[in-house]
Amino acid sequence: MKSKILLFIAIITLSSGCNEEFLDVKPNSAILNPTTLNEFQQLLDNFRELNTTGGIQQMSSDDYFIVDKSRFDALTNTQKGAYLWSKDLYAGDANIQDWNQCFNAIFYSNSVLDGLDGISLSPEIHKQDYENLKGQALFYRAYAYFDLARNFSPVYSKSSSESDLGLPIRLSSGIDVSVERSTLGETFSQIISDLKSAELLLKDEFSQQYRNRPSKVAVAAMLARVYLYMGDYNEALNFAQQCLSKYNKLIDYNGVDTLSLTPFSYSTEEIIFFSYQQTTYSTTTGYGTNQTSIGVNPELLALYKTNDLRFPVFFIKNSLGNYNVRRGYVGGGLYPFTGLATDEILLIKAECLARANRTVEALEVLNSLLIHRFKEGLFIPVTADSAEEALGKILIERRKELVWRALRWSDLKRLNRDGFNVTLQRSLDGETYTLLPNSPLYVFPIPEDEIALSGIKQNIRE
Amino acid sequence: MVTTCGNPQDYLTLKKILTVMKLSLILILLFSVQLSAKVAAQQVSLQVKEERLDRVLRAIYKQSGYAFIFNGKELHKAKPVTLNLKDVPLDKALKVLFSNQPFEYSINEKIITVKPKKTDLRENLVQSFQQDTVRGIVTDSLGNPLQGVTIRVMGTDKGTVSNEKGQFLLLRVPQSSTLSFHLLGYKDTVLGAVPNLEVSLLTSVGELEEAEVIVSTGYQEIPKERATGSFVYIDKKLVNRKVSTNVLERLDGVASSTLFNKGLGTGNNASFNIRGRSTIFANPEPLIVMDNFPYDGDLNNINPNDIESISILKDAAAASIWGVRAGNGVVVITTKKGHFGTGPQITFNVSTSVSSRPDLHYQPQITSKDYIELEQYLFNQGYYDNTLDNGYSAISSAVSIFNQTRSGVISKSDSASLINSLKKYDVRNDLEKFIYRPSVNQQYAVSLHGGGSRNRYYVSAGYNQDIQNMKGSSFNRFTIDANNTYNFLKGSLQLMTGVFMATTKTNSNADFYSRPFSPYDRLIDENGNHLPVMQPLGLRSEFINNQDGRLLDWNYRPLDENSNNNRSEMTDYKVNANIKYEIFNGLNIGINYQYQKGFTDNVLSRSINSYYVRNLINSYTQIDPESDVLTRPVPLGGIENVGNTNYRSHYGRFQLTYERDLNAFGDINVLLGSEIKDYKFGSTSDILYGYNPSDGSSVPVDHLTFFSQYYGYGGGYIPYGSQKSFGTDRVRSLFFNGSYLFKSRYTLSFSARSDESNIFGVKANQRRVPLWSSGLMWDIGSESFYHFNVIPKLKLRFTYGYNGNVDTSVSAYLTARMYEINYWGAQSSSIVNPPNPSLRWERNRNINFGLDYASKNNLFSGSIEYYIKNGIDLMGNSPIAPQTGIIEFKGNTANIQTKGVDFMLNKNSIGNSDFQWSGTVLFSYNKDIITNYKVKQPNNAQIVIGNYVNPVEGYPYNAIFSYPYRGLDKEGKPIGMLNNETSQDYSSITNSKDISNLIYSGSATPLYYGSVRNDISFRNFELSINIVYKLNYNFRRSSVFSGSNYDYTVADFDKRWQKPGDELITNIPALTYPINYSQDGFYRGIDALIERADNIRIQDIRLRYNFKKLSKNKLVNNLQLYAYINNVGIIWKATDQDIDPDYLYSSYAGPRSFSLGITTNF
Repeated sequence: MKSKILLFIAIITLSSGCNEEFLDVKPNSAILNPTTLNEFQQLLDNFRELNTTGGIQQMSSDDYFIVDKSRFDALTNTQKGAYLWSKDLYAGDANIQDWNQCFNAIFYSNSVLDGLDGISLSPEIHKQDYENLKGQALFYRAYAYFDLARNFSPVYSKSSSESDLGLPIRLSSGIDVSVERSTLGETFSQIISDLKSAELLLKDEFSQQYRNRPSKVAVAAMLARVYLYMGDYNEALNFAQQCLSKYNKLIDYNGVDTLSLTPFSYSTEEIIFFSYQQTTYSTTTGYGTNQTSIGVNPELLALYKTNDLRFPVFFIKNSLGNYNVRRGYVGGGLYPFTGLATDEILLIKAECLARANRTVEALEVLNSLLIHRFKEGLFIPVTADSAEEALGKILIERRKELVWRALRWSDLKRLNRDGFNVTLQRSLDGETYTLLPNSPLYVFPIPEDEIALSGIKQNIRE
Repeated sequence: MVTTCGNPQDYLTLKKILTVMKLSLILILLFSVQLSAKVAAQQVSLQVKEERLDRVLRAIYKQSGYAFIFNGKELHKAKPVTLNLKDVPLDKALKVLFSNQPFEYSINEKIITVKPKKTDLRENLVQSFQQDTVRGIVTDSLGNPLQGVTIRVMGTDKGTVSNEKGQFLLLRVPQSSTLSFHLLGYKDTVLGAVPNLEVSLLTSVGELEEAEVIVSTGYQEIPKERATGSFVYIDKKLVNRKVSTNVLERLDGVASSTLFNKGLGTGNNASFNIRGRSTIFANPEPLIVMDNFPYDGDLNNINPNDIESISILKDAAAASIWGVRAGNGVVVITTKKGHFGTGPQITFNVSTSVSSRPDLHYQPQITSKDYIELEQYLFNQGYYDNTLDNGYSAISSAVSIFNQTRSGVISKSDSASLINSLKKYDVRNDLEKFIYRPSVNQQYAVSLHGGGSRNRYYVSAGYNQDIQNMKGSSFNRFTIDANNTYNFLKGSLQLMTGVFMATTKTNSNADFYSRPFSPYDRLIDENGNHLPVMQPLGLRSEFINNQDGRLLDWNYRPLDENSNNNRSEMTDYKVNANIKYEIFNGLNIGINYQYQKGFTDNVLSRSINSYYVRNLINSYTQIDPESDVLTRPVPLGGIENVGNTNYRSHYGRFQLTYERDLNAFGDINVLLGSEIKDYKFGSTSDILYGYNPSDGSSVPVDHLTFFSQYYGYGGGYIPYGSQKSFGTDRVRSLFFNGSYLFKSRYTLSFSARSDESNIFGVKANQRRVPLWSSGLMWDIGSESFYHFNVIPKLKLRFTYGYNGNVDTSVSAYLTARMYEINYWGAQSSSIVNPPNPSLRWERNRNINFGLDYASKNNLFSGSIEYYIKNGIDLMGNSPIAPQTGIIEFKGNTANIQTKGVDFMLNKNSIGNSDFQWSGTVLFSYNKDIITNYKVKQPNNAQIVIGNYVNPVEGYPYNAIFSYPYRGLDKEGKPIGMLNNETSQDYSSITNSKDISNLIYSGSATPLYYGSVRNDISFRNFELSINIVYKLNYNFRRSSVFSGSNYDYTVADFDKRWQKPGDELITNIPALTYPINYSQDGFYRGIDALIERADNIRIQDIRLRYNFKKLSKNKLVNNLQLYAYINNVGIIWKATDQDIDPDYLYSSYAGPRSFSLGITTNF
């Protein structure tokens, strides 16, 4: 008996030995340690992190006004500072998403890029899928950096690009180092090189379903947007054409329900790449039918001609009698669409053609867009006697077409650089606020916590 | 001991063996074979050198089971013993032992009486001529028979032991001799010998030597006497003092250093703390161990009647055997077992508790009349205009009347009378009457226990039925607990098996009507018709009543929703087996295995008649403007939310223990072992639309289309609820625990444990965390130099060591979490945390000083302890440059320090057999301070609202901060302070980042707490009263009119500033319009709203009556009746506010409950 017992104990004891697999089990199904292509795609499909852009540029633009002092008082400091172009824009507000969210997207992209480095190709992992994913990550990184550059750096100008401050360029996901600001030239060459590498890696076809995902079409569209901002109109034209040769679908607004509160969907045919404005400032920038704090700038509204379907599709009168923006290309979403769409690319093409003195072609492109925006049979094509006049009309149409898409601010920056000379004015409670062309206030300050924790250089705003 | 490596099959083999074991053990248990006794000749071995006689006798007792009666006062006469005997028969060993001692001995049954050698022959002769037979019964003070009482005829060698019915018989007792009665845990009693004796023994609670308290660590049972660590021991009697369904509730107010967190609002707080806080963001709950292993099921499944005792492990030395799970303290629940050598006994306990209907007028609020005035004012200001304009949003009845008056629909005089009638109503009366009810809890428990010479058993069944205060809410529980222990091979092999099973049913109303829209709403009219009312997100009646007749009725009638639509059924079972084998003297090997499994089915069933379903169907209803065709994306029919969760766990443990009395070298006690845990959990849930309860069919719906809402401009997707999740928790541990007692006065202990787990998903070398502790005890009272007679018993303890804690939300790798399916139909995920390669477990460094004392005659006894706990490497947030993509990084960066004192004083029973009085005083002091925290709150408003989000360095975790307040100005506006000057710039005050603009208003948890319990018995009555106190803590009155909050749930509206001069008599601001959020935010945070929460209350009273006479009845041994009142009432509180600090944020205070019960055993 005694020996039997000891034998039994010995068996139990020996079998309680360890095997490393025992502790290798994933603790929770909801927690992933992304290692596969599919898991990396899931990270990149998180559009709330990756497909967002800032909101201060919209709040600083002249697309709207704040109704009165009491409504102004109810806003956050950043909303107030952006509206009045205050020197101390955030006035103590922390967690500035315009900066943080873009770097978060860069962190996601870099995490995926670092993760992909650890994967070797095998029969199960196709080169094409692997490269497509890498291309997506590079695109997202460039997209975020461009949004940061148009907000937190002066407008790109070749002559000063080696001295103007750009952004800290982070090319890996490690959080243990902070990086100094590069020059603006370096920032833009990083954006362009990321986009150009992405173009080589991404799959050829354009996915009608996943409009949140980067594609070759999106790369061309983005390059057109970036070069336009940089003032390189030849390259901008080149990529706008490249883009449109691959994808040029337009919606005819005659088919759009002017009464519907959600006239478009998240997969509206014009969308080339979906992004939307981050959600912090909804009371001054969000879509919605009764945003009583704000009204769309009446001067802007006055620019729409009769029979322009964009007016009833874009705007709705609120309970105070002011106009609010109904909804853009975001289905039922409440935050403005800021992505790439064919209308913008057509307008880039038209602008670049006009700048190249190709007036007829320019107007042809413009009219090809506008005919889809006017009541059927009632559209009178735009004409111009000179390239300059054409450019002027194209820029007005650009403002009307791309209203509330967070492009107005960067347009003002680049146009003023080129001598456009627009002075902005606001009045609030009897006081008038003015923003002169090319003012250093066009460059937003870097959030205080970033300065405090990484010690990078602040923008000078006086 | 344990192999450190092996192949992957080993684990599976173990699992197989254990599964087979599990099955066979159940069989053994069910067939409960009674083993035949085989008497063996008693043999003993003794190898001692210069050892004290009493220790030698104890060794003989351990080996033979023969007990000694020996007067300790005569010990000084004994000579040191030196012997070397091996397997010698007992009688021979005794002969050798006493040959050179001035004592003689005699054996009677299993009792050996030792007394000084006598020479008076005449006295012996007289005695032998006058003899008598004495029979009697020994019981405890409640009339329970006491088995194993040693009864001795003083001055003779006669003696006996009482049987399981408490009976004894002594033959030939000399006349007029005295009998002494002795049983561990009871006071020694001496009585004159008469033929029929009824003796009841008094318990000797807390007596240091006589009542040996055995505490359990879950790994071993150790006499509290010999433990260096800090333990709280709650015996069966104290566990059963309270009447409650939940076992842990019974610790409230009776367990030293344990604080139940009542009245705390938000933050990461446990339901109760042992010695305050040890962590910030990680799990704050103490570890609950039931018998050998952590209890993985729902604590509501434990029947309190099955509990033998509860040990609370407080410091590192007590708890470090539990390693990383011990950081918040450990509660070890030990269940009842049978006793060897007792006949079958049946115990029956039944009780019923009733509590009153909740008082909903407990929280002060605006009267209906005042509220209507406020609404009238706001209406005139245009406050409701936006809402009124949209045509559908909910508005109150009064506002509706004002609106109709303004638009001329009703006349001014009609309006006035309608408004006047509203002013009379108070919806709380209707709620109390129709939504709430008195609660009734019934408990039944029956158990059968006993044992033979080779086995013992305990089987119990319990049934609870709780009908709760809210209509439709109830809880039912059925439990079974069965365990069986067998001894083989002369007791050297012990096998224990146990089965535990519980099923519970919980019913509740998921659509419980908790917050009326207006204070004057009515739920029922004079004729008993159920009335429709507004809901905050509902639709106004004018809108509802003018809709398309094809829609479903859109009215919300709370009394029609009074169903128990939310039902959950839980089944939990646990099977365990335990083998202990003594290889040779003192060396034991043990194997424990436990399997636990539980599953819960949840059904939330809403019929087409419920408001929830009608509202959802109507909201999604689409009407084509051209064809006027109506479609319903949410189909007609019920909506059924179904879900289930399940878990199962395997625990295996292998341990070696070695206990050896090394005589002159002291006692050694060593435990060494390894443990393995594999816990899996999972859950699934789904929502079924168009559900037909008769055949279980449902209809698919379109979750991917964005539907515009029937009213207004909103819209959405039909809620989608198919989900599945699962996980695994695995731990592998090695542990060691050793203690060494030398010279009977010094004890040294050491404990260490190393855990490895899969939770971090980190590399193998980072999974392991070694934690250790060490302790020292010095029995000063036994020192020869110690002569302080007032406190003859005095012991000092000191321990030092580490416990751990776990935060499962972090990982060393980049981890992501499944997120939504995005708008384009792709599954997305989000990053949970960036890689943290330097991640460590949280640790708690514990220092404990303890002092145990007992006064002369053991009148008073108790302990004083002082401790310092340092939480180090705690998970905390650190700010990091946002360019990294992350703004806060969670890592081992925070520290917390907790200091405290625990004091316990037992006043042991005094009095005579008719009247006895005993009591216990508990006192604890506890203070925690965050000593290191990197992230600062963004502004003072955040500190005031939620200090716990990012605690402030230098203050407690539950710190309260407030804005200094300087009264009202001449317009009734509040005045604050900013940078040492008065200010009314509320937004600058609240947005200030300078913490010196705030006042620290103390902690929200008490600094001092404890209880005073008195137990008085008079004849058959026994009364116990527990007074609980909590001192030096604070709370913020949250529902006070700020001038700019227009909700009806606020108090003091009628005390607001109304005219110049009022600022001299009131602190409540004038009504402000338009709403001023910064004033509201400021005012709610002012120091004038901070109140002291200190209070003293009678927690409960228990009265018991024992039918002692019944003990003569053969069927029933005893019968007790008891009455119990819980939540008796507050005796004193520091605040003038009419609020109970234990129920600060609930809509009613805990109702007083009355219980009646009977316990009997036969």
